[in-house]
Amino acid sequence: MKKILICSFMLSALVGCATKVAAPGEVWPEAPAALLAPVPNLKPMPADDKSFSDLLLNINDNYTAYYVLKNKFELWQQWYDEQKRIYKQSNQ
Amino acid sequence: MFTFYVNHVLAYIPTWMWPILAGGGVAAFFLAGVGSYFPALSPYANFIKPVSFLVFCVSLFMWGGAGVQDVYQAELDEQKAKVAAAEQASKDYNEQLQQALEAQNQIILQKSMSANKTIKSEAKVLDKECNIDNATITLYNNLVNNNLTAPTGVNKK
Repeated sequence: MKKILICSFMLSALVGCATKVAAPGEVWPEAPAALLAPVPNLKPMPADDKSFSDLLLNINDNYTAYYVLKNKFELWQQWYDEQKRIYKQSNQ
Repeated sequence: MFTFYVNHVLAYIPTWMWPILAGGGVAAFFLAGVGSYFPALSPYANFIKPVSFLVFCVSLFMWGGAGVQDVYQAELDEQKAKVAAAEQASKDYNEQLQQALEAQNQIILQKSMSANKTIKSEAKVLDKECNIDNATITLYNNLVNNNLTAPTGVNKK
């Protein structure tokens, strides 16, 4: 009986006091700087400009701004999908 | 105080110290047992016996704790390596994305410049056939500034 008690104590002692283990901090993924740039406004027509060619040039500038923004938005979506994939992979 | 003791004293004692201390405690216990047969050593042996038993018990307890900590530490190191790999993968992908953005923007701007060039070359013909009045410009600028619709979106906190 005494031996059993001693052996039980030894076994329980072997799962004794563990000291503190620091957990790794969560790291927020950084987005590319180009994707964080502010979005420009569309360009209005100058009030004194009444030629059709100037209107077309202005429309073209605004369409260009749209396509640049569309491109940026699609890359944001890709960035999000990739970060999600990396996160899932590192937490498997 | 207890946290300080755990963080700054126990954390820096190497694991191999505890089995050595436990073994030392056992050895001292048996030596004290032998010593108790000698009258000259008997008083010391009676003191050493409980102390060595206590040293053995405490060392065994701490050895167990250190073992558990080693297991946690190994898991933690594995997790840290995964986080580092994820950070690197994210960084690499950001560089690819940055390059893709610049390349695609370059194509968009080239196409825009090409369209501008065409418009300018055809300006005389276009301006001759079409006139734009003030109301059209005002309406167009209202569309550009989005003045015709109520503002939407979430307010920034």
